[in-house]
Amino acid sequence: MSDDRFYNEVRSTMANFQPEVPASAYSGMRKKLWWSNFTKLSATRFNVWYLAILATGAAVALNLSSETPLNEAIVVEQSTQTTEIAQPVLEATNASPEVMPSNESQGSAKNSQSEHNSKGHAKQLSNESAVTGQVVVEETTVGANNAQQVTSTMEVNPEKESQLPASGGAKRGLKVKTYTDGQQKK
Amino acid sequence: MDINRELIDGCIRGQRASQDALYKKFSSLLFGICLRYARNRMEAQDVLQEVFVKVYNNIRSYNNEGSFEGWLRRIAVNTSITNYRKNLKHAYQADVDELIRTNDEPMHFEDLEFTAEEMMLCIENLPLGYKTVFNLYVVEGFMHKEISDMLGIDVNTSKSQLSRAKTYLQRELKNIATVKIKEHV
Repeated sequence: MSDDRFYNEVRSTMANFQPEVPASAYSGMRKKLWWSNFTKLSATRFNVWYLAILATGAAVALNLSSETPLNEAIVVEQSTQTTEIAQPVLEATNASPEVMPSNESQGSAKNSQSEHNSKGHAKQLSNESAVTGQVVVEETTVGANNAQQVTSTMEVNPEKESQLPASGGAKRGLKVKTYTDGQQKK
Repeated sequence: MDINRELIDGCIRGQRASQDALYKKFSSLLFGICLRYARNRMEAQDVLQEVFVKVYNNIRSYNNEGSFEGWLRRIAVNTSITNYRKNLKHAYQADVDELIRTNDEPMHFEDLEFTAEEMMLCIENLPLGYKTVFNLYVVEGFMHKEISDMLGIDVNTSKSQLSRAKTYLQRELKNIATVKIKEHV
């Protein structure tokens, strides 16, 4: 068949076709080979995986070194917040211990117990701080303050704190007046 | 064969001298294969580079069964087909354009002799789809079923593309022959 003849002729002619290769092909091939070896996981030569490990190590070291000042800033912020909330409650309990009802005295006992617990917690943390250093000392203050905050919010609702002594006094027949700032001036 | 074995062993050890010697020995042959499948010389050059990277990286997998040259040829053809698949969108456009041009009556191919360069010139001008099917069927000796599996096309598409490629090539070669005869006279 003429088709087969044609195909055979093309096949025999093209089988040994060897054109000249451009010189730039070799350098390009070398570059591609280098990149291929660089991206391939191999223990024997430097590659992208070693580079990734180095980069990760550097990032972790950088993160660890910058961690201390960041924590301090957070601790200071947290401690100021907790004292602001906790102070009025403590004042209220300290201001009129005689007028406090029995429930309140229990509450204060709980408060003192919680303070004791928080101190214990602080002691425990301070023991740890001896091992870990300054960063942990900062955490103990946060722990103590948090403990105060938690116990105070459990026992006394901040919105009703001024009414508590009055209601307790009314039960015993005592008159307890509460004054606002404006009334005290008058 | 012994020279090839030495080169292969050197490449397995990662010796640059052996790699260079292998490149020098087979780059022309493999570039010819890449040129038959690529759209232009730049693309063929890129494919050739990929072929050698594959060869160096996978030379351990060559077992001495069969010829080393055949193994290299197979890598070159497979890499060229991978490259063809990347350029399928462009190939479709070219095929549509070419359909208009190849609607002429088929020419009769008689006893005409052509050089590889002349034949290559005609093959280079074929649309990418025709060229790939023609090369796989005529030069590499694959069957239409194998070609359809390799290229992800229908068997009938493979057959029709081969037929059109043959018609186009015969016409182009006849034109070259006419010019040659005129020059000779």
